[in-house]
Amino acid sequence: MANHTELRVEQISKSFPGVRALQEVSIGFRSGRVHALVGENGAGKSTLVKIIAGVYRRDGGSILIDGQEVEIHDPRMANATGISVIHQEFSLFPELNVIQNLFIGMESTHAMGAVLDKRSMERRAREVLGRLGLSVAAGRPVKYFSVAEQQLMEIAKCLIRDAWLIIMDEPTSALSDSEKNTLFNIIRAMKEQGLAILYISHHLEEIAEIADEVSILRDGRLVGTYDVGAVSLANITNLMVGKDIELVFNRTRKEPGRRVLEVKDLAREGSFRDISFTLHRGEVLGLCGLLGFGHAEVCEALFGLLSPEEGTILLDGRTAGFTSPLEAMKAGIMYVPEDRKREGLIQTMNAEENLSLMSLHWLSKLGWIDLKNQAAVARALIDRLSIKVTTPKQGVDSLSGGNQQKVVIGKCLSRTPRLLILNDPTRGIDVGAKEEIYRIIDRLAGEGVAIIMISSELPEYVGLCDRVLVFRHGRIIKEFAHEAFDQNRILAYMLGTAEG
Amino acid sequence: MNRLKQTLRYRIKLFTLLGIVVVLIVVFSLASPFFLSVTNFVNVVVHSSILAILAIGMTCVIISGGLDLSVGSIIAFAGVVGVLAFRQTGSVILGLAACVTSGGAMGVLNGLLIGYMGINAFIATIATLAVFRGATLMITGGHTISVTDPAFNFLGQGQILRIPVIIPALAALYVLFFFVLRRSVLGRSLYAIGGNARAARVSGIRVRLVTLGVYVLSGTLAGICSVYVIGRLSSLQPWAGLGAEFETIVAIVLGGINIAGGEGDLLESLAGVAIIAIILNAINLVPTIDPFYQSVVKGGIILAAIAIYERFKIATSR
Repeated sequence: MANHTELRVEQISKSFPGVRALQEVSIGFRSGRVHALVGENGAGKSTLVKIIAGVYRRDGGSILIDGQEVEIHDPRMANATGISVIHQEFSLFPELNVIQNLFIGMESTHAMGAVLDKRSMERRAREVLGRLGLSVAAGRPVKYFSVAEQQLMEIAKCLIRDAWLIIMDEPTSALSDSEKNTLFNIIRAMKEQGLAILYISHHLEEIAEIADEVSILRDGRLVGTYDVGAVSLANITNLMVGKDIELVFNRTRKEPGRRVLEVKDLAREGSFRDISFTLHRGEVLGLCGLLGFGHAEVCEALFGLLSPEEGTILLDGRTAGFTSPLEAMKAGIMYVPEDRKREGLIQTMNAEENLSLMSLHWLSKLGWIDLKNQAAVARALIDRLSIKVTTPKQGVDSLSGGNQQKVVIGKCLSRTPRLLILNDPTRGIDVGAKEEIYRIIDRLAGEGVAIIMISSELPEYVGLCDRVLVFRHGRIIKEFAHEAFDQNRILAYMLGTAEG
Repeated sequence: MNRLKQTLRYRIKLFTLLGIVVVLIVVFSLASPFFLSVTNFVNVVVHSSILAILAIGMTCVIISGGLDLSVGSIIAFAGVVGVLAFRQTGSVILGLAACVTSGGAMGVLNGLLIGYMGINAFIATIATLAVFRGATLMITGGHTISVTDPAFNFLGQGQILRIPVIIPALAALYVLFFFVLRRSVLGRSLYAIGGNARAARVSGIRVRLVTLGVYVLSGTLAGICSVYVIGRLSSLQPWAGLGAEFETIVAIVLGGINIAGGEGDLLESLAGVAIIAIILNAINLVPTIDPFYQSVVKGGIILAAIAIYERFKIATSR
């Protein structure tokens, strides 16, 4: 299986109109090593990976395998050379079963391709899956399995194709701690067998745990390749961003103002019940819980995306049961959704159009949009949030993740909201952009905006929130004030292992 | 994508379309002495007006991510309603109003099925295509209904200053809707819904209502088209509008409108309509091309256009 020893990219360059994505990057990936690749969004990581995987054609430089120069014209050739990619969003076919997915594109057949050799495929599949510790009903459609199991199937796909270099893009973003450990053990086992792993991640603590060496990209250039033992997390962050970043954010605490929101006995069958809490001006309230515990649904209900069946919502003392997002927006509530690609941005539109999307009602007279006003509003938001665009008319699909997220947040700030709801505002964003968003949240709270936020990282709750409500199975089971914050205790309540 | 690249691509596309129109005009005027004349030009516009009117509505619907396959049948049934209303009441105004508003009413049905019940647009409008056509045949019994009142037929036959009325009417409609798409809240909402309907909803756009609206618009324009068709033939044919939706989609795709929605403008549709109109006119005019080849030509054009655009997109994205 391990038939190579090194893949090297030498002086690789790639440009797109208006952007130099990669400039003379040289890195070597060796068998038996986990090589991490880090960098801010837009630094060039995915461009480099796409060149190695045959999706893009390089403009300059060369790719060498064991010292021999190779041309990788397309993904098929990359596969044939032993290069396999596991993307962040898996490339499994949900309706096909495990075996079909594993052998897609390279099915074993009898009679010169006319009949599928199901028996041998099944045998080989079980063998590979067994090695990964996955014993599942291989005949079931893949959509019925958990994300962690699907990921192991993606790895099995690579092994079946005799991959030598496996590229993993943000492999742990949807995994629990124990699933992550399982994955790391498998990665270590693959290392022993001589595979080379290219590991891309924003989670620097993981890199410290699993990687042997790390390459840092910044603005399309290689800053350097280091042994993981020789460089600290702070160093890595510093090199990624070019300046010092606080790893733990601490908000400027102020006295909260008058009450803005009062929620009483809110309930919706199957999602949440007995939800009651208050919120004041300038206060940041964190809602936390595991997936599906109702906190995200409560946020959607506040914004008019869902209708609660019981209970009352009082905004500045007045009853406010919104049946549509537009009504919520008119009352001063803004919502930053969880998944910017699916719910936050219109990819066919440019930055200016996206930024003005939530204030069309106010930027128009008799149904006609005032384009000058729209441009001015967009310009102001771009400056205020430091959104990196070459022009406001740049298409949002060409922006980095961090800047895309800023556009989504900016869209909600086009009119100062009374209540801003943030659902996982820093998901999939690099360290530098994250800090900028924390500062934005801090500033907004200072200006008197009431904020509700959900996060997928406990340190964010501790660093940003004044109070935290822990959700479990649709109900609020515990409230913490920030003096009493303790990550471990919050986690314990979330998991249901706390007493009292 | 980078807006710089996008504007460049747009300009290349429009320039190419314009070039094609010019080349076609040159080729056909060489092939036939009748081609290059004011009479023929007016002829081309008059005959392609049905296509041109429907293209406005279809462009808006497609930009919003939908599809309206029932417009041909709406032309027929709106015509039936209009003509019968005229006959019963003797009032031209009532008849014309009934024609246009019944088109809108059929659009309401489409809009409710697609926008509020969530039925796939392709399936819903194929169903209504059949229903409206069936209703037309039922009521007319398959017979033609003649209309001779010159006021009723004004849009189809009348002239202002020796120019067929339909030409300034078309121009006005195109100018109006070009700006509606580009600068109105409704237009922006259509692009947003076509681009990402879920994100549009989370941004406060009333997706269901706007969807209803765009199908009402499509139906109303088909109703106006119906008035024109009746005027041209001084009668309502039970098979009026047959196949019009297919021709309209061919023209729009040729002009470069993305059938998936979210992008495109009326200039592109107009260019596509112009090219189809010229080609079909030439087929009838130039003696060497058999008119029966029309369907083959139309189908071939849509295939060629899509193939060229896809290659163009791939070539400019690597």
